[in-house]
Amino acid sequence: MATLTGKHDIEQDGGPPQGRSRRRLSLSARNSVLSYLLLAPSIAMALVFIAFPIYMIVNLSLRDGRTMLMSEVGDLQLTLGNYIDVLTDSETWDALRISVIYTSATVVGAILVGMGTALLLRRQLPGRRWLRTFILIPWPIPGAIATVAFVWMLDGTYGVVNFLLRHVGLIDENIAWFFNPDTALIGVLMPTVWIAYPLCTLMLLASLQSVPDELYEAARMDGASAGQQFRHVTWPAVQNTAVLAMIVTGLWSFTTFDFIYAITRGGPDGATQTLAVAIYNQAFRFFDLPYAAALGVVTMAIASTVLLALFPIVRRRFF
Amino acid sequence: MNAGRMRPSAQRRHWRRGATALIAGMLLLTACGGSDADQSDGDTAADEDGGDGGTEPIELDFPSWQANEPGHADALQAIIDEFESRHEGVTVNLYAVSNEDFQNQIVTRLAAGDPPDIIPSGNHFFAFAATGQLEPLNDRLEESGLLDEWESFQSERVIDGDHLALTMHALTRMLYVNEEYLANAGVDGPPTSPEELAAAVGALSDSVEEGVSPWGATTTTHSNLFGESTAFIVGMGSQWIVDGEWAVTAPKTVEAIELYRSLARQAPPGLDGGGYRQLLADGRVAMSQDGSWVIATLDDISPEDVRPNIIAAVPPFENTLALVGTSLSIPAGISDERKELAWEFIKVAAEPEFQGLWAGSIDAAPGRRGSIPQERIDERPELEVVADTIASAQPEFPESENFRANFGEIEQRIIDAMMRLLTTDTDTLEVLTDLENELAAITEP
Repeated sequence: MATLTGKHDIEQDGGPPQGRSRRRLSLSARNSVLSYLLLAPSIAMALVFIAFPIYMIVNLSLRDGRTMLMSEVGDLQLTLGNYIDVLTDSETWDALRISVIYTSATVVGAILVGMGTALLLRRQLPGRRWLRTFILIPWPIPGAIATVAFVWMLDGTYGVVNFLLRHVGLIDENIAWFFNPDTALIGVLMPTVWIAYPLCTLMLLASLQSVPDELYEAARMDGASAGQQFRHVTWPAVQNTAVLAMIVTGLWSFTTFDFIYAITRGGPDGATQTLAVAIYNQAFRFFDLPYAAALGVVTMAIASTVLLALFPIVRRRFF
Repeated sequence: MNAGRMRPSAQRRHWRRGATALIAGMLLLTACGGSDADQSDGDTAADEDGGDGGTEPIELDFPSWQANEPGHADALQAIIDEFESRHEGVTVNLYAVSNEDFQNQIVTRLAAGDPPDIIPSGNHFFAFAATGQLEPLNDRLEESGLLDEWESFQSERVIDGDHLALTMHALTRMLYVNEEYLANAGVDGPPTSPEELAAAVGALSDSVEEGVSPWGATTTTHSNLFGESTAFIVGMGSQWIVDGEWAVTAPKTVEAIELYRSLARQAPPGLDGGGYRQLLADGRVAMSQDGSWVIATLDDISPEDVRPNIIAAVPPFENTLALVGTSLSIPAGISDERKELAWEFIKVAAEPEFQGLWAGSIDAAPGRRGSIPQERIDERPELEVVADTIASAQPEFPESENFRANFGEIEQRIIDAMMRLLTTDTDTLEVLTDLENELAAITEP
């Protein structure tokens, strides 16, 4: 408050004038509030679409009893029995083993095909634009469409894959891909790799295009073979991107469900039952939602553990 | 604002605290989570359509895996047309959902409180009943007097004394034989015993040309495997459960499954029911056991030069199988007005004219006694074969509430076991012993 002399009163202790409360936040505090306000929509989305479903799954996994109605979940007793059942069930470990094989094979296949197509697209080939389109076509195709196509192509009696393999002499008689437990997983891997490789192609191609042609010229002048050029010029340039592509593809394929379920339903005799398929079967065929939720939480924990283990590698390479 | 770089150990403590707080929060929420709000979703569909007794149009939602199937489609449309002509402002939206997706879709919708207004079911019935979301029809059935005119297989749709569906018709399994192939194999007429069946298929396998299979069966992971194996078991005098005990390794069951296995291993690999049915219709399968509803399908899809060779005969077993075909239910979670309209629809489907139309077009036995007129039977002799077969038929499911209640998991175990029999050389008794142990672990018989 101003005095008659026009000067402000100054409290003897150096504080603000009496009767005048400090309502105004500091600049730092105001910036923090603004930051959180701007983040609020994202936080709300994360809570609704990530945190709440996770809470519901964890809640369900700790319930004893069977119900298909979410409104009845709260009435069920709390228990850790579902986790004990999941971890002591041999089928869980079988499904994990199949998931690991399926994921590893998908990653290897997608990276190999992706690398090959990326190297191809890097060349100055006629019709490269059309080639790029054709190579990337699998990416936007829905999984259901791809499975229908591959089921027909891999048909044990009339499939074109069997015809071609017999034609080139690789097999003597038709293979019933989805009938035989030994070949069923190979059968479901084909559409999975087919859908997965375009992302790897794009990522690797972007890295390849940053490699100067002069390096290859220099390597050729030094007498390097194609393999040596790849090892000493190409791979060092793309290895970080390749690692990232492998992680992304691996995480995606670990939780992939639609290809396998649409083709084999996890059969024959569980030969293609990954954790994702097992969760679905428990929930929607056996109607044991709490058990399925527990299996889902265990799957989430496995994936998170692997991701955390890989995080230092990613951080070292990229940050 | 800039917090500066934290030391790695401080960072790790920071993350640990955050993760611990998050997990603790979730567990706390879980422990404190009580009953959610009372069910108040029954009027959702009604609210959307403003169901207040006819002032606004009402559309009844009616998904069905049979919406486009031969025989079923026309009958359903006739019922819908009649119902709509009697209820101005009310329409029925019939749409197709694949059989493989049907059960999961309806169970999900029932669980989510967004059910269709009319729920058809085959063996899916048990999954729907398990949700506890089907309306008991007892009062309505008593008031209408329908039960007095209904066949006894209606009991297959009674759970704990509640009629949860009205059966529209019953089906059975027939032996489909391509008489031309049979004659070429030197076999006089369809087999009439399991031994004759095995001998006939053996003779066919020696005589049919390349590209033709002597037997057709499901040879992929599919729910058909349960029905096909059960047909052999029941046919040869056994069941999955006998006298309150699991009978999976009973001598008659083992004998039946041995025969089933020996025949199915001669079927084209990797095919479901639709696949080998098509081959039968095309003349590329000589013999198969399939539902009575296939007769109408063969009429539609079989070439003119093949169809006359294919006949439907009584299965060569001491027992035949009765399968409850389609039954209709009303979900508990819709408005009273919609329940009444759905019941009116079911009553139309239950009228003699439409019972005869529906069952007659798919060669089934109608739920309502005496619904098929003699003229229809005269022009379609297969109906008499079907009626004779069903008259002495055994139910497909054993007498066990636990079997029905856990059917989803039991069916999966049986399917896996049958695939193991078809794809490996493991001894039949060994596979069935493992299966019995698995089933016993699921539930008491």
